[in-house]
Amino acid sequence: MTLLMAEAVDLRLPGRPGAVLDRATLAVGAGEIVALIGESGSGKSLLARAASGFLPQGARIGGALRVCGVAIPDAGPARGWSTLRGRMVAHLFQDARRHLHPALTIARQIAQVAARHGTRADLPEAAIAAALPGALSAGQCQIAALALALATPARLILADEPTAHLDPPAAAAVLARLRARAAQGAGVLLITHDLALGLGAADRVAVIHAGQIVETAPAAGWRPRHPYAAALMRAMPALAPDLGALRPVPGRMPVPGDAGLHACRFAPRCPRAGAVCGTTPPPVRATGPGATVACHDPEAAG
Amino acid sequence: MARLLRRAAEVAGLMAVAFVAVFVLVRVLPGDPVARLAVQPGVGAAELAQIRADLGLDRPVAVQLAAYLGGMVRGDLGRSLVTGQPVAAEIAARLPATLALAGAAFGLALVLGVGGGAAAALAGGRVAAAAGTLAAVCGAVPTFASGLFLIHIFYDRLGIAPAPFGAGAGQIVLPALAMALFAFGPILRITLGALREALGSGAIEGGRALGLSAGQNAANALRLVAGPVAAVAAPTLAYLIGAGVVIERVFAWPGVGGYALEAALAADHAPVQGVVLVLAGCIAILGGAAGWIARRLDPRLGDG
Amino acid sequence: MAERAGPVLLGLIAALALGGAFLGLDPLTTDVGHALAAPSPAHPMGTDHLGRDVLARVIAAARLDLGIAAAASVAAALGGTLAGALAGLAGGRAGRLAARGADLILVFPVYLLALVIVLAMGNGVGAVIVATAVVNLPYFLRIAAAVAAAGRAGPRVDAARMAGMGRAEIVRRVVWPDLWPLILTQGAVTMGWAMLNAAGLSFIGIGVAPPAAEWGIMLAEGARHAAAGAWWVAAAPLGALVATAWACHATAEAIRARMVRA
Repeated sequence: MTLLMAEAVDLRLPGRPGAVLDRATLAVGAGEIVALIGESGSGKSLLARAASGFLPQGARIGGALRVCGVAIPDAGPARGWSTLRGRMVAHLFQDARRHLHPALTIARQIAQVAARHGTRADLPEAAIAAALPGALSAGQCQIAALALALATPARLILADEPTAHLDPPAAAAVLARLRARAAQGAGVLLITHDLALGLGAADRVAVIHAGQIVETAPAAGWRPRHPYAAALMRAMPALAPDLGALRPVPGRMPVPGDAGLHACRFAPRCPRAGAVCGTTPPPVRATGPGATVACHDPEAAG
Repeated sequence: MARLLRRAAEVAGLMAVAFVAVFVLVRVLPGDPVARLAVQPGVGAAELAQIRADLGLDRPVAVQLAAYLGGMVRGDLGRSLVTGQPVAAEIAARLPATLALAGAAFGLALVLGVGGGAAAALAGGRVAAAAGTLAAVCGAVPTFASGLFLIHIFYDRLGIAPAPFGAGAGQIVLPALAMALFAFGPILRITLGALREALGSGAIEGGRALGLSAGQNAANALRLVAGPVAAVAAPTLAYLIGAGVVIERVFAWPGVGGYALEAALAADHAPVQGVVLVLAGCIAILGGAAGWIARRLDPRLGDG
Repeated sequence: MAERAGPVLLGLIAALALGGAFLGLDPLTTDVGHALAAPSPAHPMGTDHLGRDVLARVIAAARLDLGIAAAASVAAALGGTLAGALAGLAGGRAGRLAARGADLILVFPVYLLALVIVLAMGNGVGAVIVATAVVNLPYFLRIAAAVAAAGRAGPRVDAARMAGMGRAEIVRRVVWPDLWPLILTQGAVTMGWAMLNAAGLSFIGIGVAPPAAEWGIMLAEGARHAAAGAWWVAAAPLGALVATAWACHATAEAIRARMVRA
């Protein structure tokens, strides 16, 4: 079953001109890990918040967004989230420490979740479980937050940068737990800015730029087709040495409020851009099983 | 356990210093209580000197202090020079009334302050601002004024309250209300501010993300508020215990405050010493208890 | 804008109180023939039970009460801040001693302590000022000790020392800017409390004595007559007292708001 289904989703926030998500299309199925890769400000965290209902008052969602089969209405955050959160969808926030209760030990917080949902929860190591969040390092807070999220019966896990402060062995442990949960039938949306991490940990990747999802593909043996995705890959030569020399992408990613946004928001910086890229939204073309590209360039679609 | 003993030792040390301070201070009170006895017929200079010697008033202060200490251990707090009655017995008879009044006022202040603050935080916006202003204005009205006003409204005009002079269960309402109206303001403001912050905090958002129930989230939010509220509530309780003096006057409430006031005006040492020490002890103990409760609720508060 | 209400009101009251000394109002002359007269153009706030003009007494009382409150607040602030700052900077034994000293004063029942001090000093305005200052001193002491402790160690102090600053300069640059807004705020709060303390003491007959014009005394005298119908005798001093006490607290809030912004 598809746990997260976003089809041409627009997201507008109050007080911010322009759409922070523009025709975003993404799907996460049961048993798979999908890595959502993008720069800071690309809207990846907002997509997760839309899927768990933590958008500011006045946010408006266009297009079709379904979480565990439940349609999220156009008016944005609605009541009824209490039936979804924890039971169906769990959100692991980027700033883990801020979202832990400062006056309760981790063990007590996990016990609260377990009592609420009637689950049996695994505690992290004793040093973390017995401590208050204030005494934990940033990485330990992330481990604690993961334990809390996995203590819920949620089938859709939205993990926002779950390994940002962790050293490689600890990060591997986190990813292993997510993989184990996926194997039990959950779907994981792994949000990260780290392309290498995404490729290593996920079954499929999705690349997001300025609120637009430009490419999705299976992670194994992925050869990026979209110019932006290719540029990201080239920025990490170890990943694909045959793609050419390290070359930074010129300019900067546009933010929704910028004047003169093109229909394809990468167009001003794209080496293969044409006139049509500024006026017409790029069509989403399938390039293989579970792979799509949003680009006017016929070469990108293969 | 060790921490408890350490706190107890600190409190004891504090009380010891307080004791000496009061002892010395009280002896600076103007007027000679013994001379007051001279108005009685048949009491001449020789008798006065004898009384002074009997009471030990002619000995050095340090010696008097030691004697008082010795007596205190035996439960003897001296005698009132005015009434001739043992101070300990008088205090024992009157203390419950003062503590009951302070307790009732504190309870009311908590209900008004925490309840009002929580309601205002949930209502938000204008209601919250109005509640804050109301609390501030109430905090500017002295207790004796609201006490008199309440008597005037509820007893003189409406006739619903029982005659205010006496210490029955029904009669505690007005004086406790007068004190609570003055004291609830800071509690309401701190509850309002802290709860607002807590409700919008990451911790509560995290709880909601995990699907915690409304009840669990509310309890978690209140836990976040416990520290700041306790920090305001403890001194409030201390104030209420001591502020009874004025209210006891207005309502003729038979507590220790009035007893101490009369004695102070007559330079009667023993009752003033006894009352101040006993009340200081109550304040120290209750303050410690409030701190303990707060730390249980919010371990971040640590050693107070 | 709304937060200016407090300081503006306080300023107005202070101006009225001070200016009132030059208006030729007479708070003391009795005129029993016109006792308990209702408010009229001749007596905008009516007369009291001895025929004295209530408005004149309210303004004179404002001078006295504001004076007492201000003097007590300044004394408490100076004493408490100095003691607290020294203790906080010295740290260790001295710091703990100062904290214990503050605790000591705070453990006494407020009114009884003030009462005993006033009586021991022989009643009168000076005694009330000293007693109120003593009772409020601990708050300043605690604030000063806490802020000064930050001037002993920590990243800002390290940076200052590396820049070659001496002790005095560290105090001036690291401690003082944090300290003075807090002290000022507490000072405004203390002024409000001091007014209510002083009024309470006068109400029970301690400190300032009749026929002086003081809001507590006026309330004590006026309560009976107010209940009998002459509401202005109690309403005027009560209104003035509440307005002034509220203005002090509101001023403290305004100072705190500006401080947080800064």
